[in-house]
Amino acid sequence: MEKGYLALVLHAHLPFVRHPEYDNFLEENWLYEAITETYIPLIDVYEGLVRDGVDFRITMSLTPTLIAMLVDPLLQQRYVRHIEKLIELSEKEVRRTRNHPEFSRTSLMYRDKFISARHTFVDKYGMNLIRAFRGFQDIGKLEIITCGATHGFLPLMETVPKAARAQILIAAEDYKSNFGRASRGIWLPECGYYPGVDQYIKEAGIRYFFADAHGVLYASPRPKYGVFAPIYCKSGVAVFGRDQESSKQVWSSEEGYPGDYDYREFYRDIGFDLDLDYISPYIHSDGIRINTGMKYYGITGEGFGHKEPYDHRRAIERAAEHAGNFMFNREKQAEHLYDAMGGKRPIIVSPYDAELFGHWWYEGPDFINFLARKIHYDQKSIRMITPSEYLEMYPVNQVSTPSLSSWGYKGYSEVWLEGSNDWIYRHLHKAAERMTELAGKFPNAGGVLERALNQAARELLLLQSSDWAFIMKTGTMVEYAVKRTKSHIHRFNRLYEEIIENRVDEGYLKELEGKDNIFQGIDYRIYM
Amino acid sequence: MKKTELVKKTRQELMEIAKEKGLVGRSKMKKEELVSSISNLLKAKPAAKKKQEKARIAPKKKEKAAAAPTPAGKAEAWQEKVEDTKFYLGAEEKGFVTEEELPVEYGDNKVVLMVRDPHWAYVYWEINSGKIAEAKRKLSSAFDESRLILRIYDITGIDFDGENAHSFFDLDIPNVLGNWYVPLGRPNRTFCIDIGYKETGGGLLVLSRSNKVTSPRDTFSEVLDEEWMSTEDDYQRIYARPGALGAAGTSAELVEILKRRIEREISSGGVRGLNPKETSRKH
Repeated sequence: MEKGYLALVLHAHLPFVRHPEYDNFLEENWLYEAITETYIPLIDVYEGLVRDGVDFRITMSLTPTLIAMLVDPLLQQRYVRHIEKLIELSEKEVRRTRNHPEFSRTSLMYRDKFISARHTFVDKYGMNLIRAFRGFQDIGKLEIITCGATHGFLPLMETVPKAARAQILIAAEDYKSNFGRASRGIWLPECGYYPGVDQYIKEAGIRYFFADAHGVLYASPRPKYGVFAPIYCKSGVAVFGRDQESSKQVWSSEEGYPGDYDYREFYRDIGFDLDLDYISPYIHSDGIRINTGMKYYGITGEGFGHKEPYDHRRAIERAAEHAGNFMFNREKQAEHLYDAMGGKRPIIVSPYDAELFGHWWYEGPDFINFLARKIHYDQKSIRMITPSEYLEMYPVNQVSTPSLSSWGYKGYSEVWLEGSNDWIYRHLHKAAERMTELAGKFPNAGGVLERALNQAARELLLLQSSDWAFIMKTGTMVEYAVKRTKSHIHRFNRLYEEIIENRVDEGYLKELEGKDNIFQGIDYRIYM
Repeated sequence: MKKTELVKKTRQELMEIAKEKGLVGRSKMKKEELVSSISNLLKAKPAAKKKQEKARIAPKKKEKAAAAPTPAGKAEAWQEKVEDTKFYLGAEEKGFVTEEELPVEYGDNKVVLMVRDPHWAYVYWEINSGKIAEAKRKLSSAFDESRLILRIYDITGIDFDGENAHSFFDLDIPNVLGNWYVPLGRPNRTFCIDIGYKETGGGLLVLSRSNKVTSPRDTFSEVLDEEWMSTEDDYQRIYARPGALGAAGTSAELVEILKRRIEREISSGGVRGLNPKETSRKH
């Protein structure tokens, strides 16, 4: 009998980016890159595990914004265009590197992977990857959970509780319409919890959520088993705490697996390395150099001096070693905790950004593949589990209120509330208050007025994505995040004024409904 | 180096940096390409280069000997950097046209308090012209001498009536529309803020009162009571029978084990201030 359990949790999320008004829009590549490098490789891994009879459990949060993009026909078509361009580029690359054995194996790898990605996307799943994920859930291998509707960071919505509640309830409804049943769990955006937000989780019929380690360790009363058993909030919703040891093995900049010198270097991309004439059809249509996804070098060493050509076979071997090391440490951890907990089997919760696997850590999906297989075949101390299964096994847990916390840098709200992004909250809160005011004033709206109210709710939700504040802070794509924030504030305020003054401009409304078309079935009355 | 700094450099200066960094194909690049390629390369540096936080009021916190693990670690900084790569494409869309600028004010009369972490809060406020006119009338000649302030009250466990706070402190603020970071300094306490005009005699004319917030803990709870629940039967509570949970020892014992374990992990990962010896060695 096993000594403990591993709950691997992958949080898959991208903000809603969809620009039908442009033929090419750079930031839509966030989605296309994640599909090619993370979502499809993970689906391939799951398929392989099922085919080979490997019993595995992975919990995956798919955020409503990501789902909305994955089921959107325009973005699906654009992804096909994107991957076909990549296939074309990789075929050119195969020819270009023909006489360079150190690169040609890698270019062949890319060509095969791109062709296979297109096949998976178009032929296997009819351009809708949600079908793939749902299939693995239906056979009990994957537990798909929801997240905040647009990934709004809830601790900074404490003063506008109806907006925090709407983030959760809208997400729960959205999940039902996509998966045909209620979500059992929720990944709180950025793992951000504040005491009291669990009442909305309960109201949504959701059984559990996750908190960062200190959110559970600092819970009150003090949790007897630390993060290695769930606790119940007073509302009865269960909380699973993040294990620090396993997250550090992946995230640490010094000791973390993804920094291994044999792995692929993220920052050396042919979009920047090759002649502009050659690469221009595959970068931005305005001639701006961007990443293509084809990268030929390994990490090799610190900094960006000399880089050795990437050797995929060696990198895959390394991923297998790392999976073995990760498993070994979880076994030791489980054995130790099993004794320390007096024979109660611990749950070790290891959550990661899904996009870490594949997009940043190119060999990450292979790591998961090896890990699931090794756990299944090579040892007896641990088993993979979903939080729901653990709760069925151990329904009696301690009652304790977690502490306000997030998984961001420094553990609280500072990432989303600092000099670069604090200016947004005045407007975010005002829009949330106005939405509640509108819902109260027009509880029985129909026709154009109802459409305008629903669209106002969509603009508010899109405005609340934590991604905008995050990007402003990290400084990578600031201009876009600022523009998105301002445009949703502007759109919301214009709708608000038109509604209040009873002069809704239907043409403008229609334009917004076409652009910001998320949550088709939304009902603004949720803000009452 | 930030992209905005790179843009200010001449092409020649950029070429030198490009050469130093071993940028391939640099000689054929236009200035804009050099800027984005170099900034591209610079991002490859490890998280050690992270920008330092800017607090508007310098914190005067004593380095405490660690009683508990701090969540701030290098791993989190690295995690943030890696999450950031999700959005990293090498360039930004230039053609994105958006609508007008934001409203400067909403005509409200309010002050809103938001918790940032166990020691700091953020506050923003807006006082409308009607309220200011009213204050002028009330204070009449004393108005010119009075100062606009934020008064931060510790109201932990109190039904606050404006007079019965445990303690308070004042911060001068320059404007009726603004925001500020407030050093609360005390975890797991409840606070609220008044914005108002402070007269020379010491009286405070309150313009608006904020919401209440409670700062999060930064260590283990001192409450050790154990209550157990089962949610199996429709969230109906049952309490565990003695012995039903096995002989795990006392809660305090287990937490000690966990604590030692966590400290071991974190000290090997180098969290600043956790271990006084380590801190002194570094400085």
